[in-house]
Amino acid sequence: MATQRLGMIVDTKRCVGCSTCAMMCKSENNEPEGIWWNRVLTIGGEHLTTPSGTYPNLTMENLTVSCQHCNNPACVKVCPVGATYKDEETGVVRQDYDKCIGCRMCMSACPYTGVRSFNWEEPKYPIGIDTGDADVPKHQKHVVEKCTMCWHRLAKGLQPACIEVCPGRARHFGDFNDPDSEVSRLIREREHMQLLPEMGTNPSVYYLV
Amino acid sequence: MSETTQAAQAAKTPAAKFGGRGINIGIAAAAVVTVIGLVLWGMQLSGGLVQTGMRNLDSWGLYITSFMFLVGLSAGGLIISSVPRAFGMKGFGGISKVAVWTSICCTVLAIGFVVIDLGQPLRLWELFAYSNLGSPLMWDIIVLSTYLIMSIIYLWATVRYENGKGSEKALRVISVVALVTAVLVHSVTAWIFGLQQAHEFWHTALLAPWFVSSALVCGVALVLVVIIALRRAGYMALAQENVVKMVKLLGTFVCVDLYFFVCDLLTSAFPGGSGTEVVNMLVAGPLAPFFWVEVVGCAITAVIAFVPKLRTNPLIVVGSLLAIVGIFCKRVQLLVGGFQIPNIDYAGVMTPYTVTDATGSLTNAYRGMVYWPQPIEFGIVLGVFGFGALLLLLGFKYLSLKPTEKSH
Amino acid sequence: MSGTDSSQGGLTRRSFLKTTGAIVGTTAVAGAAYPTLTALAEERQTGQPASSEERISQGICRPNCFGGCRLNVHVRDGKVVKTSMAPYPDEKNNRICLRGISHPWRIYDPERVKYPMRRAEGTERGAGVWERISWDDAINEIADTFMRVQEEYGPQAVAKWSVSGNRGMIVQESYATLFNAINASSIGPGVDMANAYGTARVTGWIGIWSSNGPDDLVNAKNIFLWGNNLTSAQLQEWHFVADALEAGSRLIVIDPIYTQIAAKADLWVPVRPGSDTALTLSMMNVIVKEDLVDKTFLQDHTVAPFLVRRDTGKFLRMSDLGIEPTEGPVNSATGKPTIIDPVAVMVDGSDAPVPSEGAVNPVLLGAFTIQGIECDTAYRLLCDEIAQYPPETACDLCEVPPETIIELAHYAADGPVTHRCGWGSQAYDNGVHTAHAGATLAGLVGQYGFPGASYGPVNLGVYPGFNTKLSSAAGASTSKTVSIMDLPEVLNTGKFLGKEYPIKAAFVLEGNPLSTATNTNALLDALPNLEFLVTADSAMTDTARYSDLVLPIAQWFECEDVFGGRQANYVVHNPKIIDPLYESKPDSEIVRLLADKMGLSDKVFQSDEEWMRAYIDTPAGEKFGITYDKLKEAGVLGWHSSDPVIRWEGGVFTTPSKRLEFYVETPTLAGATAKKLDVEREHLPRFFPPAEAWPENEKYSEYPFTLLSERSMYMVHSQWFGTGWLRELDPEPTVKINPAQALEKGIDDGAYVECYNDRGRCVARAVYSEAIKPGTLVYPKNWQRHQHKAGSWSELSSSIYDPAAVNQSFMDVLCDVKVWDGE
Ligand SMILES: Nc1nc2c(c(=O)[nH]1)N[C@H]1C(S)=C(S)[C@@H](COP(=O)(O)OP(=O)(O)OC[C@H]3O[C@@H](n4cnc5c(=O)[nH]c(N)nc54)[C@H](O)[C@@H]3O)O[C@H]1N2
Ligand SMILES: Nc1nc2c(c(=O)[nH]1)N[C@H]1C(S)=C(S)[C@@H](COP(=O)(O)OP(=O)(O)OC[C@H]3O[C@@H](n4cnc5c(=O)[nH]c(N)nc54)[C@H](O)[C@@H]3O)O[C@H]1N2
Ligand code: SF4
Ligand code: SF4
Ligand code: SF4
Ligand code: SF4
Ligand code: SF4
Ligand SMILES: [Mo]
Repeated sequence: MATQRLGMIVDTKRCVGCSTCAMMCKSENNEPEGIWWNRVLTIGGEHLTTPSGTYPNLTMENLTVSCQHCNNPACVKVCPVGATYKDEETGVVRQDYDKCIGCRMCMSACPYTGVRSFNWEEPKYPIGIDTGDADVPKHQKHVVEKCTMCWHRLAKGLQPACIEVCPGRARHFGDFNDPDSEVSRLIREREHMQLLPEMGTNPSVYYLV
Repeated sequence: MSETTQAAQAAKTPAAKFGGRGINIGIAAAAVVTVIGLVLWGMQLSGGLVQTGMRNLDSWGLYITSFMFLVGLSAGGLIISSVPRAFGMKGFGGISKVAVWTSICCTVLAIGFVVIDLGQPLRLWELFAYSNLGSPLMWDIIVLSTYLIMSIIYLWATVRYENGKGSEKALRVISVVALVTAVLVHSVTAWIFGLQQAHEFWHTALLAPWFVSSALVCGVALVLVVIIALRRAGYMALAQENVVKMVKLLGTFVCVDLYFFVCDLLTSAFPGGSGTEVVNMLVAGPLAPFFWVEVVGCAITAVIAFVPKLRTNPLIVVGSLLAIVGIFCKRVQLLVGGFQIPNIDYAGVMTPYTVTDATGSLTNAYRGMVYWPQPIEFGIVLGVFGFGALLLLLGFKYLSLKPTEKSH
Repeated sequence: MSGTDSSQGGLTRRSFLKTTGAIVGTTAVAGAAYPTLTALAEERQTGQPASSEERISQGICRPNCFGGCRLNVHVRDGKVVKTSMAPYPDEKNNRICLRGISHPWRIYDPERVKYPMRRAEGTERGAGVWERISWDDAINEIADTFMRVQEEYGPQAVAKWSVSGNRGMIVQESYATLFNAINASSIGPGVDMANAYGTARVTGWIGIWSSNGPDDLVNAKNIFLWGNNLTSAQLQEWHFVADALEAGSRLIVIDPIYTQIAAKADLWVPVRPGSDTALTLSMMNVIVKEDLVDKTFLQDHTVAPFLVRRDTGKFLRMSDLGIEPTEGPVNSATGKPTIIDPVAVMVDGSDAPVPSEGAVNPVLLGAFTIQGIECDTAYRLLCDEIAQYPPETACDLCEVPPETIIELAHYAADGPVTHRCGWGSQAYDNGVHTAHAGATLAGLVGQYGFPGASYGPVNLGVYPGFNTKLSSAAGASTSKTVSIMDLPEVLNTGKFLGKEYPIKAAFVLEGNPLSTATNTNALLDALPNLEFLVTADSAMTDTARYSDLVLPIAQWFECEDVFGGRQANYVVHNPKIIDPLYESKPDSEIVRLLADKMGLSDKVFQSDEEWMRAYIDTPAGEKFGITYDKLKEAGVLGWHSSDPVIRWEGGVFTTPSKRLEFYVETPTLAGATAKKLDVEREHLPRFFPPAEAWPENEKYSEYPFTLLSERSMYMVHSQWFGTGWLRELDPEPTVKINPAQALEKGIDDGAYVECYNDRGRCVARAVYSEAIKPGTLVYPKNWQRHQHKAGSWSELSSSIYDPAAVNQSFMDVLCDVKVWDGE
């Protein structure tokens, strides 16, 4: 079976930090209160959507950050029980809630601060319903979770939920191992970056700059 | 109440000669503290780790700090007792059983700390069913259990040998193996942190040898405190000359440890850039109190160790305690320091799970120590130490750890 | 703060940037090209289809954000478990935002209004003590009170009070039918009118806001956004701007605040609040001085050559010169022939005026005395006005450096140019003139009526096929519309326009005026004069909390509705997707119940379907091929043919003269108001300082901050205020302050501060932001009072308004700020 390297592209020139992708992720995956697998960060001041510099010489950019589905994932190496693992066929870094012993090795190993989150207590749903897709696994207390690349959707031949909702049309999904895919084309044609390349993790999330 | 009745019962047992009532009260008190710890652990498991100060961006805390620290204590103790044996040095034999028992207790506690830190302790069995041998945590688990078993065998062999069974050669072999595992255990523990490129502060090749030197510092210091205490309590005798030898050893180890520290800081700071950040954080940042307590404490220890006039028993105890506290501070610096410098700290959504103090901005959260333990953590840690004291005292009471003729 | 901070944060941010290398070119992806994989590569599909046991229906999200996003509503076990993006027939209109995704939370909000509730006997309004009552009791009480009040004080004593909560049609129209039938008053919302009137009086009215369609932005060489925080407030349009930027358009953002869209701009011009008109006039000054004007356009498509009488301010007409008007074709509306009385212009080389139509090369700049009547060309009057604002002078007013003004003038003349005027600069008492000046500027350089060229707020094409007369089919109400700004006085005095005008009961629907209208304390002081206040809402808003009776209404997916398109030219049907929760009822049913009780059943439609058919199945609709049945089946049907929409094609406007009337011959009041219009002032775009927020104001020494509001991404007005998912991102009311000024005031980042003036106060958390112009404070608007530690934002704003707009001056507000003392 051919191996894919599924991943995402976020065009920072088109991203306005609106959090729509983050919200779709939250709803689709029934993320409990306080959990955000996909977050908008502001490259600027100390608060969301504040710039750096001194008025009126200012700059501000947005970065949406979720698990980078690294080709060489730091988290997978350190997990003692293989509860986080890389799916060889797709390159997606997956998470098995039933297996996770909650040691949080993966959290400290992952260089991308904050993409992994731990359920520090019984997941809370103040509205009393499970939102999103029925095939999303139940969230569990005291295990680590993160962006699944919407595995439940991939399984149905769909794109991840956060891709198409982007009002800026800034998000793209595809197989980086397929030279004809849109994502491969985009990184051929556009200037781009990966986050923290010096960590050697080789993320499958690219940012067009 | 229960303490007194327990103490009273304990007083009747034959081994109660040593320490008598005192040790029984101690055992009872330790037992109570242990039980309280267990109750708190139960609370932590049912109410969730949210009750601790740990959060997504500071995902380990006092438990893992204590784990590191106790691995150090244990390895140090064992090294101290096995080195003389392994290299056939004379004069320390009397302390070796005490030292090994102390090590065993510390190892048990270290494992205990990992367990109480787990979110799903009931899934511990998976470690053996699904072991990922690539994970440093897995290595540590293997090495720690081996080490625990080795220590027990070593203690058992020593006791046997002193009772006239088994050969000195066999004991020596065992002591060498124990020594190796002790060094390994510490290196591997260091690797849990040191192999993580994610945290600049941890990611240094020096970490393993440095962990070993720190282990030696606090291991020797602990053994010193214990034997001086036991000597006072009349449990054992040890020539002051040997104590002095150990104090000198302690001084040497302290210097080596400080030397490593200097090496590390210099390597970090010299190129400038983000390494300077690490140095700033330690010297003048939120972790400065821990840094300075360690550095000054260890320096005082070294002075006490090397100035003959100062090598009085009270000062030796003070120096040793300072060294132990210093190494604990080092552990705090290491653990919290690793989280204190996030790779990505851009402003983003902050929820109660993001960081211990999620009320302000991320920068605010990092202004002080990003992590500070909550009462339940102190309680549970106390409980674990209570359990340690219980083990230690039970050992003193029921195991024949007193030096015998053959010890020397 | 910034990277200069010595904290870990600052340093880390710096080091991260340093190590985040950009990789250019083709080599970056290791192993990217295995030709063999091509065949096996699987293209993943878009879409949000149903998972197991799920039912999906399409609805529409319809708050007043202009979005009008079609949503898939996913229902499992009878519960809405997800809302996701549903496509429009053309991909470019596909859109959704974070709020649209949050509907599950909004629907199942634990705080949702569940039952009809009455203020507990003996408690004050707003005390928060409620008793649950039955629908029967609620309807009886409302009907009885309304009938009693009308009997006692006259029909006008009952008022329909609505703002803009739901842009579907059935709610407004149903209530309108009922309130027309009883001749009730209306409370005028007083929102968004300054840019609407400011542009409409120059270009003509074709719906509240008109400009070229968003898909035309890509044709513009220069795009100006004036006081328009597009990425927050018209997020659904951002991708059109992004496309334009990719295609090479230049984006110029004129805003005192460094907004998200300012961060995307090629040029951000931090202007002083309330001074855009001065800046615009100055740009025109440069354009005229450098002769960058489009002379032909001025001559043929604007009133520039029209002669204006000095004595009356009116255009000189041929009839003034003794040439009798002629009769034109019969006007279908009036049934009478139109009167043709052309305006006179002068042409070069002749000293006799000629009719403007057909005049060749009319004189643009001149003053003439014709048959004893002194006249100037309209252009001359404009130039006189413009002449007062050379860049150096304007700079003192608008704080934009002269060289930037000149640069802006060059861009404005370098077509195609699209100007989007937002709602920022019109939120001051002088706002009509900003839009008036802007439209004039665009005309001066001929930037109208072709691809890439337009001036306007947005293009809000509302479907013209609906039967909008339906609610007044049996006669419109003869009572008045009292603007929200006049309401306090009317309630206090019982008089309006100099006559007795008691208003004693009001029904609030689709509005939350105690949060979204200005000068809350004046309203609160006056409301005791109201004997009865009912609010129909699904959330316990500020207004609901202050009412005597609260009716739980069905939310958008719990009842049928129809949407006439906002920025997409589609009619969208919203079926009832789930049953109304708890005891809530659709508004249309509430109207039926009330009508029944009041003996007016024959005036209202007996079912939603009947109403839908009457409203949708019209002759005009026929032409577009849109009928209720077709719409119900398709869910969405398009109605606009040209794509992209180009407004005023060929420079033909919808004004009386069909020209761009930058000189307004007959300025009018924008609504019922006792205020007098300064007609002389209103003829031309003129700069005058905002009524309050300007240093000349004596209050300025006491209250030195101009208080601006922003529309955050996390609410639409006050809607979604309690939605947990959004509140995680944006947990509490904040006010942004420039850090240097905060330090001067001893305000720490994150401290609770009190913003106050002589009208009221508001306590919120201070957020340091360099985006904030010193001298201003910016708050995300419409948090509810109970979400604040004390006060609320609308307490600080005033009731001042310009009669040319009858628009609330949301940002024309001065205040001071201090650390909150906890009181
Ligand atoms: N998320 C969200 N979207 C919305 C709404 C909402 O409540 N929430 N409301 C909708 C409605 S009804 C409307 S009317 C529109 C309004 O849409 P916008 O007008 O785009 O909305 P605002 O955020 O008020 O933007 C006004 C901008 O003008 C700036 N400004 C203030 N004073 C001045 C000035 O004197 N000159 C200039 N040049 N700029 C100034 C402000 O800093 C701000 O950035 O948004 C609609 N969209
Ligand atoms: N400070 C400040 N204030 C402002 C502005 C500003 O720029 N600054 N902008 C102003 C502008 S431009 C506008 S347009 C106004 C908007 O002001 P409003 O229209 O009052 O604002 P909304 O919060 O949308 O209020 C609508 C209410 O209607 C309810 N609602 C929604 N759907 C329905 C329905 O189907 N039936 C019924 N019965 N109720 C429904 C909602 O729950 C909500 O409580 O705000 C104005 N307020
Ligand atoms: S939805 Fe698109 S524009 Fe919005 S934050 Fe996500 S990537 Fe950026
Ligand atoms: S981003 Fe972190 S969690 Fe995700 S694959 Fe990479 S190392 Fe693992
Ligand atoms: S927390 Fe779970 S996923 Fe992470 S390393 Fe431990 S067992 Fe693996
Ligand atoms: S791929 Fe799915 S899980 Fe990952 S960020 Fe996007 S929506 Fe969330
Ligand atoms: S709130 Fe407005 S922009 Fe967001 S989904 Fe609803 S209609 Fe669209
Ligand atoms: Mo509005």
